[in-house]
Amino acid sequence: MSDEQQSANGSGDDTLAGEYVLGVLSPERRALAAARLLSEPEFAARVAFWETKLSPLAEEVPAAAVPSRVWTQIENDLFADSSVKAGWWSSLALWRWIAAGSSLAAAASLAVLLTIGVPQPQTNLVAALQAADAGPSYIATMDATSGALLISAVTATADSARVPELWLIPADGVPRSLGVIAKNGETRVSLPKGMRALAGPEVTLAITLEPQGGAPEGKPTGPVIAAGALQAL
Amino acid sequence: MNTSHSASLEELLAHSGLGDRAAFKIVYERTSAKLFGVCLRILKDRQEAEEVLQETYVKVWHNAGRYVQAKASPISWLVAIARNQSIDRLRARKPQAADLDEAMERPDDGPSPEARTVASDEQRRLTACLSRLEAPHAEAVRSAFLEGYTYEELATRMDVPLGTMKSWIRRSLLKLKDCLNTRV
Repeated sequence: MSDEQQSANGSGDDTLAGEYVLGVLSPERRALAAARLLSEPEFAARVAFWETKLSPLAEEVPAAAVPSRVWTQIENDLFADSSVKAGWWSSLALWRWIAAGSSLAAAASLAVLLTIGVPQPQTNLVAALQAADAGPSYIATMDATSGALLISAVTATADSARVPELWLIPADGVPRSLGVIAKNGETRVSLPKGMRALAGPEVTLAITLEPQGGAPEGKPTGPVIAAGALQAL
Repeated sequence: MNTSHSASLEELLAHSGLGDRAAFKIVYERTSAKLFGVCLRILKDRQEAEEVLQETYVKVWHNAGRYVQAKASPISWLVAIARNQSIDRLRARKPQAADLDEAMERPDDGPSPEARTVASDEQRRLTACLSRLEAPHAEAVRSAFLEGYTYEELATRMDVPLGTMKSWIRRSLLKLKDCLNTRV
């Protein structure tokens, strides 16, 4: 298709980055562009160019009074203490606390228990990713329908030269890259539509260390530092 | 941390990145009405716009530390996050998107002074470059950005074939890039 041919070269990438920023792409192509954004600094720079240059267009949008409940919700999400409240899920302090006293698999089971009775409609799969011994560990939660995946580093990798890349390994055993993820904190990944059907209970998520920018040929090259299977909530 | 109301948005974001909640609150106070306007314009649904605005600032808090590396102005950076969240939400709607012509409550507050001051050289240049495009092409770019329309929606609304709309936008982007990169 000419779309893809065009994006193979630099000016095609400029156009694709512009299309991404304008928001005109189909959901599938948008998800693909978003994945490249995470793993290709050069593409990210092209996107940043358009975001900066086009943002003055927002000038003509009138401001609108925001109901005070929005700020209350934000504070609740971000700063509520670790008792079970909205936003507890993304509280890394809570995860670290849990992980310190129990195995990560047990932490994931606890997550399952905590989720019962707590409205968390977006999440229906969870995975604890860890190596055989102590080392970097991650918690992934996913909504299989929308393909939204959130991965949080519980213990970050100490490797400073390479970057962690997330892989989905379905029943056929072929790793599909979900892009480079942040060393610390959380990364949100949106699974392209075609990949959503591959994700489900017992499907493996794995993290490898790859050169800056991600695995060059779309295949893992570095060591697996953490892995775990998705479980249904 | 020494957070004052006279601090610039850059400074406030930098402080937010270091965990300064007071600084973050000022960022919110100064920019949320603008970003809410942006979300509303795209989503055309108050409830959803409120949720997306909330997600936007949660994201801003978590990423504020990385803002320092961004080359964009603070308001560009914030607008980009709000637009991305809004467009993702729009695309995640069930196949039957909301009726685009559905009457929407148009907020009538003027742009905030904060947003106004950013009406800079960047804005003048963009306006100049857009004016060099054929009028319908510029209009397509503008409404894609502001309303979050897909190619299909733009083609329908402007009553041209899909392929024509794609080539309008792509050619416009290439022309804009040349124009925007040229020192005026």
